[in-house]
Amino acid sequence: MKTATQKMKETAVAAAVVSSILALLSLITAISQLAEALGASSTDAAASFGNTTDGVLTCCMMVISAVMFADMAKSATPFTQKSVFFMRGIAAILMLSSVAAPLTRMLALSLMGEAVSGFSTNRGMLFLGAIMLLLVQIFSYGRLLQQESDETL
Amino acid sequence: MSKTKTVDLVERSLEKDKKDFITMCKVFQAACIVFAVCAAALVAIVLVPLILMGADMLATVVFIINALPLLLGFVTACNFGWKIFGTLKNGESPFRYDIADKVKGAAFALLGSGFIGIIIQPVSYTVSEHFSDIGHYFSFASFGCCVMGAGLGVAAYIMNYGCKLQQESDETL
Repeated sequence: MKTATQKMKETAVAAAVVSSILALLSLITAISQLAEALGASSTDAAASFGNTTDGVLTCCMMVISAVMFADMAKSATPFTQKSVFFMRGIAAILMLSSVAAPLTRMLALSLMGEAVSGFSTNRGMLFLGAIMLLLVQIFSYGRLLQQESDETL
Repeated sequence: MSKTKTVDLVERSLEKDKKDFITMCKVFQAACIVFAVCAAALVAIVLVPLILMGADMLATVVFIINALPLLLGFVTACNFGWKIFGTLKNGESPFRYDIADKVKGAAFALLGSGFIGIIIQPVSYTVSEHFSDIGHYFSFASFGCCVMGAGLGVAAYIMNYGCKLQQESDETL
């Protein structure tokens, strides 16, 4: 059990580092897209605003992931109340990001007085969000097992 | 009397959670097939016009070399997904070593196909000019496969830990 815990800790630390790097990259992407949007023509600017929203949401998601993995490494178990809470947050952001970028694009176009065409959602993100909700349920069950194991010891 | 009612409510809530979980598993199992079929159809949709329009042999071969590892990796991952959700929908514990192994298998399939894609692409760019038009989508897909594979790899580790907890719980009982 000790080796498994040690392995878990190492994996969680690695995942936290990767998530932090991805958060930083997403933030840089969001900032560069915003800078591009401010100096572009209306149609290109709307697309860049959409990408900025995507970047910001991805950054938030990665920050939550990094905090969650850091917490897992600290508590030496993935099944805690906090991790279930963080995973719910990630699922919510994933589902939100499936509609956020197109909505921002439409809003930017209408604010610039341009014609707004069809609305499309990112179904892949929606599916990932649903998978995450399934994982939340598995984690809730894992939390019960962890609690049982701690009480037994 | 009140305590019995509370226990009854908790049991009913757990039963409902389990039912929801099983329904979700059934939906995801169906989604795995849909995704695999869509991926194969997507490759066919690009490949058939490429052949019919008489594109040069090199462009077609380059497309097949790039599409094949990604398609195989994705279909293998979907196959693992189908098996995982198939096991989970029986309502048993999700923490079983065979499920953890399947998650690991799906992670390796995605990571492998993603890495092969990333290695092949620079060669394809140099060999065929035609590839530069669709190459962007391949880079995006390969990177996505790697990220998803890494995520599943972490999930496999967590599942393994959960299996040990489950084993401990079963032995205690």
